[in-house]
Amino acid sequence: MIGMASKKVLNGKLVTVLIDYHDMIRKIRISGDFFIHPEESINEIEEFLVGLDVRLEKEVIEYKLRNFIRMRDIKLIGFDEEDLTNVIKEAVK
Amino acid sequence: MKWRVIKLEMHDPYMNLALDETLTEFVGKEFVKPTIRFYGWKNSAVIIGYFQKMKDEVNLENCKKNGIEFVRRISGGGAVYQDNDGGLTYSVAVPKKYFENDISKCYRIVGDWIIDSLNNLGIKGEFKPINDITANNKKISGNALSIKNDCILVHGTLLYDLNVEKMFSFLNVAKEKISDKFISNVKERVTCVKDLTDVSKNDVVNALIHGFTKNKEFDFGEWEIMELKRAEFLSKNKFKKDEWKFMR
Repeated sequence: MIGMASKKVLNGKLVTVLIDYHDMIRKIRISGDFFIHPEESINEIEEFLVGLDVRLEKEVIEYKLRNFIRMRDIKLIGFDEEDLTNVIKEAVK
Repeated sequence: MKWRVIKLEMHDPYMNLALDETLTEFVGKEFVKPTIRFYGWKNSAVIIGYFQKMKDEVNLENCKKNGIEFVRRISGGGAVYQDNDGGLTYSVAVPKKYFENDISKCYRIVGDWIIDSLNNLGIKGEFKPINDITANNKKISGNALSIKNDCILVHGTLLYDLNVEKMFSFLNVAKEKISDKFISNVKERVTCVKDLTDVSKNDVVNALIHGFTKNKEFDFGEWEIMELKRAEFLSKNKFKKDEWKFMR
């Protein structure tokens, strides 16, 4: 199945995800006017999300994302792990 | 720390973006001094942020019809329309080790230089986190930052002139949104130097040079031949390629 969702987060940045999934994420594209440092790590975040079970509780997905992002020393500016999780959950509703 | 300042020059959009990436390489490895450059756009272009999807952001059909280029930059943030007449842009490149390692502080530091520049024109600017400068509570400058090749690059635009209708004809905003109300809403949120004071573009360039170099040791400098060669390579083999433009 293909799912898509967009959300304007608190400070006005737009986060959009396009997901191919069937219980698990097969492919995901995250786009928007936010900042991630270093920029190329968006690919790592997308790769990390592949295989994730979208039926997991929101809090679990957010916890996994937060751990991964902290471990890789990736910085999100203009949105956070909770925003991204919310958009993913919205896309697979 | 001594800076190299490159005075206003015009390049095509691909070369402008390629020169910024080249700066991260040459400044990051300290082959050249930390650099401040000022530049304009030989051809008008829509420049999207690194994480944006080209087809979502840009009205490709209208751009092609009007000879407007569409390009992706190396930093995040939102799409901007740079008119060959209206946009004044600047880039600041510093080795990572010399600049604040806190991203919001980097925006703040360069933001203060822009505020000083505006002050030179009699305009009171204010820093609006994360990355904007406002005048009369309206956005007048937007900035983006990239950390690459051990270099921090902050680049942005000071709006000299603004044609909201033209700008949105090249951006993908839902047609039903481009109403008179939408345009007037944008005009309530965005301003430009020309709206606030009667100065020439040249005056603004001088104000920027003074604002950005205040209390700094600097020389006006030129590009190294190797930098130009590298930028030409990146322009042709990266920024002009569809695989980069339509990466997302």
